[in-house]
Amino acid sequence: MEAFISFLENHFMPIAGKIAEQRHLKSIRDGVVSTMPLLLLGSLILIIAYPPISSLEALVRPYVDDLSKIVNATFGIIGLVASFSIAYSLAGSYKIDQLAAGILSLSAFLIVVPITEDGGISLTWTGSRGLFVAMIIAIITVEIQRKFVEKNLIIRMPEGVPPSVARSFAALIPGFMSLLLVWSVNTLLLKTLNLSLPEFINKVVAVPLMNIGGSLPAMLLAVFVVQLLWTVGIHGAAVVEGILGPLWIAFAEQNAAARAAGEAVLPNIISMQFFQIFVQSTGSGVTLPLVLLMLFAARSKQLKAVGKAALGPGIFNINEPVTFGLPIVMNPIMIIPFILAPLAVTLITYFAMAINLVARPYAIIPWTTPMILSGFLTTGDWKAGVLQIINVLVAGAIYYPFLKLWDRNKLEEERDI
Amino acid sequence: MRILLICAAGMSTSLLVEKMKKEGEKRGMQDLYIKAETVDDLEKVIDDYDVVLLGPQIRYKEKYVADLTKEKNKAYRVIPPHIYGMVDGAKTLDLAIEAIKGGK
Repeated sequence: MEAFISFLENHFMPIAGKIAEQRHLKSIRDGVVSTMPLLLLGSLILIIAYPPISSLEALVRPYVDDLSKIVNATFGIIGLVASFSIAYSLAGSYKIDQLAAGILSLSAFLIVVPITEDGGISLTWTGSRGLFVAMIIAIITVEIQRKFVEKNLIIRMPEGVPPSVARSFAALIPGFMSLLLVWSVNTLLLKTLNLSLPEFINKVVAVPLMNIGGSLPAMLLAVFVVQLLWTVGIHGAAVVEGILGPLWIAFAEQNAAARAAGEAVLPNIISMQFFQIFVQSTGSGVTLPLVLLMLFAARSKQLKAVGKAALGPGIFNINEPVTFGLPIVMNPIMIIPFILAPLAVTLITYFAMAINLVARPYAIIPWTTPMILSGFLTTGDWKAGVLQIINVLVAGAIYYPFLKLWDRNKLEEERDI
Repeated sequence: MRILLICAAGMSTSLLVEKMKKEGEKRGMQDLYIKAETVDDLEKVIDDYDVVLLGPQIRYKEKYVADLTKEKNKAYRVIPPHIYGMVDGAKTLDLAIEAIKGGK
């Protein structure tokens, strides 16, 4: 066991850290996360427009069409916003002009988005469906910008010219090259394959990626990695969300769009909320039952003290007092249930939603929302709250024998002192 | 004394910040300023602080923090897991004081 832990520390941890820090992945994550205020607002409107209580439904029905404008302008533009914000963060990481990068990327994005017949911007591509093309375009435009700045192929203004004016001239050549490149590729694809760049990227990259990422095995693997990282004391969720977050947000947006369109069964089970609200309920590892066991079933004074410190934060899904206080980190006994419990919860939640026993999540809510309430709000189905309770009970049953064992160890230690 | 705590989301460290503030009041420490931020914002805010304390869950960022604090001539420490887990404000405050005295 110790060899295993030192293997994790020396080999697994640095690699996971490097992946989480990879510049482009990090910019994509930061850029997509910056759309979060829009998603939270859009979700709030969705909950109001389609209230989970049927008597309220009749009351808001006359306003649903008007309210859907807000949904269109929040959920419906995350691709458009991401084309700006991803370029903005990536340019920041290179310490080059962020605003120019964002503006150019946005412009390049709009070049390739198909125009509607009456000349409007099509909302079909400005939402999550445009997210992948936004990522790729943002990276391309910033990389071109960076190359030009590095090679000093930019128009420099003499000193005394106001910086804002100088900046706009500096962006001219790289901007021209970016827009020309994106336009050429798009035109070429249209002429040869009769597909626009977003359609092409969707077919070749996005759809296959989403099919894999939206599967149960992928979620189980993600949960396993999150837990494994925590066992060496690393914030696993932050690392894994950094990589899969954009995909999970895209799934969430599809569900929200389906809900807004009035569909009864939503397309995706796996989504941001599946992970945050169900699998991570009460903190990574579903540790609330563990906290209650420490408080009421443990005899060791130290464990009781940890239980006390962990209860308050645990209700709001924060569990560092458990992971570091119990501790779970580097603890060969507690690591086993800590990995098994959330995997069990993943399976239960997945099947409950797959057979439509429990509704699938559509509203994005803050991850600190307490369980039961969080399940109800994110799905609009009270059975989701029940599901969370069942999950906690199952997790508790998995933790119980291991905690007893650890409690006995601790008790002996305390007696020896 | 200005102390910055950093973790992944600035969430769990903010619990510790509250405990540290209470401990500071108890000790009658004047001009104590403590705040929690996410590690992504470290570069933006580091100039305002005397010492940086790193949550153990983002230890994989230690090298980055070490380099940045060295460049800015500030002290940093990784909060030991057991202190972090018990949300022990007193010991964390001691750690910050020690780091400032002990130097880089």
